[in-house]
Amino acid sequence: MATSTVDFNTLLIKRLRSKDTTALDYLYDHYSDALYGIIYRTLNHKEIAEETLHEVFMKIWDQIDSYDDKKGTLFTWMYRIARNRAIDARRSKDFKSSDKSDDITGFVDMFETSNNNEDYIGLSTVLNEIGQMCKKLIQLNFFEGYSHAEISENEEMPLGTVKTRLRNCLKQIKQKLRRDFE
Amino acid sequence: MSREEILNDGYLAAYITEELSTADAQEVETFLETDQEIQDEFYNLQKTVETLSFKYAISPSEVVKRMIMEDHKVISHMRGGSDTTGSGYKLALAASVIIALTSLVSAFYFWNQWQNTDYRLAQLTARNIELAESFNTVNQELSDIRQDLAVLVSPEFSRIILNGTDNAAESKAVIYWNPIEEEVYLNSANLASLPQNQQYQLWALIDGVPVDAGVFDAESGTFQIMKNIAQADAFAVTVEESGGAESPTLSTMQVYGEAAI
Repeated sequence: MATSTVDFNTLLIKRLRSKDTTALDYLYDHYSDALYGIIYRTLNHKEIAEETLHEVFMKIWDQIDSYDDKKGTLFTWMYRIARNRAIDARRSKDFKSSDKSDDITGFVDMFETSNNNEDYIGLSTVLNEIGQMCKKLIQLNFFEGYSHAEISENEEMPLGTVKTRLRNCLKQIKQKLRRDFE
Repeated sequence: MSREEILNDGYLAAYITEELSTADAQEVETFLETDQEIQDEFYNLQKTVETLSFKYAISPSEVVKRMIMEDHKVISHMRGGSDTTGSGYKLALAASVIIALTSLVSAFYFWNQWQNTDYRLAQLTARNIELAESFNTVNQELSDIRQDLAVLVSPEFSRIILNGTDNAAESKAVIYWNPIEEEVYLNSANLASLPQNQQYQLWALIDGVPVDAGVFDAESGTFQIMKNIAQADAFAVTVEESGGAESPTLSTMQVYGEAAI
């Protein structure tokens, strides 16, 4: 069932590994916006976020040999690099001294302020159904780089509950999306 | 950690964000190598995160792409640009330069063509695979429906209606039970959906003793396959914590029905 993008990605990865710059060009055009969304929301600072995006793509280019498809899809691998780099940038001295806050306060629901990407699979409708807490947990953990521990403290919710809920929330989205397909 | 814990306690989602300890991550990886259900669940979670990331994408400034493509680590791999100098007869030199240039231009032209074709082929392949995949989905659904129908029309299966108790007078569930093959199918479309930390649990009652027949969520659509049951006087559904309980919480009983054998 996982074949749809796999074969195309296999080719893409092969060309990246042979240092084919046209493959990097394609990769950037296809994935930069999705990765930048993660980085920007983690940092809330345009210049630092764009610098981080540059570093992320250099890391992808340099370390594509270390990509291991047993540990996840190509997107997941890039997503982890982007998320980790952005978290590192947020923790760095430069960032802290630039008068940017790195705690959860000042939360703004990103799902309310979505740009108008095509909603061909009914994602907006589904997100309206899964509840505020689900949306908040997903946004904090997957889009703003906050750890389970940080969320647990901020939301006054036991650590195990944060973990289980995140999984249930993602699963709900997937199931509802499938339902809308049928 | 057990399979069930990996599937239900958020380990796979935490594996995506790399929030597991090294030991936990290794355990998850061991399961991922062999367990199809865990692989599928992991793939689905990844696809959900990917879908959300694309939906909530933000465009960076144009200049970032140029910075990346012109980074020395990238530019050193750009094709073309090697040149040699030599001396000799001017005419021969000029001729060889022209020949070299011509072949360079045509080489570049053909290389370019090849690149384009390669891309187009890859895109067509991807589209083709997508079509094949949706065909497979439809095919799978068809065979699921056929299977359901086979259960419905089979004389081996008895149909047991579970009626709502005082807790849930409106609720209803239907069981199809084949005592010979010990198969139990459940249609839970008429049960209310539960909060996330709770699940329904089906019990088979044998001489008044409850036997666990599996946990489930209320779902419309096809039947759910429950645990094998060879003997039962009645079936009942209770509400339990996610994952199910050892013995039923009778005060939460939702529906109940006797097996007419």
